[in-house]
Amino acid sequence: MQAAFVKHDGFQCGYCTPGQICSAVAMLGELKAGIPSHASADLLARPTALTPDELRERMSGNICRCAAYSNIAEAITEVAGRSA
Amino acid sequence: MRPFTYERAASPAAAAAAAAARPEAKFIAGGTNLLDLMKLEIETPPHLIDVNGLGLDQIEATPEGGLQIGALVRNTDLAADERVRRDYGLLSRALLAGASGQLRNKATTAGQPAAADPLPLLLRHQPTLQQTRSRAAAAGRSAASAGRWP
Repeated sequence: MQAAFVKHDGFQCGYCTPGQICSAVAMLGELKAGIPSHASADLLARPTALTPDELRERMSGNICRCAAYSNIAEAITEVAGRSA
Repeated sequence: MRPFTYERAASPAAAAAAAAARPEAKFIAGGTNLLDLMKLEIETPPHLIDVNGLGLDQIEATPEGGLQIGALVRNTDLAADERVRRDYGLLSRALLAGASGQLRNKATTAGQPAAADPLPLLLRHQPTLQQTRSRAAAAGRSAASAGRWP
């Protein structure tokens, strides 16, 4: 995840980066464990794919004042695809 | 900064005894309300009694076919419980619609109803879920993506 953030330029000032990375790793673990989110259409279905809506909802506790969101999302999406 | 003292209670009886001995003390569990209020000095307790170790963190089936939810069950654990998702979907949905994952990981079932009185004053300035949904709809986004992420 750290390497993906570097590769995709998922930060600017770096202030929020440790939290973004910790949340991204934990969020992917929760997804894998079948824990639903506010973006999940079916509470009982095990979400297997990290849709853009799932990613944004599950990362919504971490804000980035530099607004590097699209690059952070790209980094997380790449890692999610690799570990799926 | 206002100094305060802190103790961990090991049983419900010990927590009650500690509170009886220090009437001005506050209980702390997840702390998601109390710590914010302390930072703003809306609450200035001289003593905190930590009730996280009381073992009241179980969700158990009752003989009547319901669920008994422990006071210290975290929002995240309650929302993710298979039985709650299957039989009490509205409860799961309501929890998942509130706050952020970080707060839901700490917030407890009993902590929120027991939140301190000044909270409504703060909440008055927060947009309601309905307002958030309306704004999201106006912006052409789904309510699910109505958080802070663009």
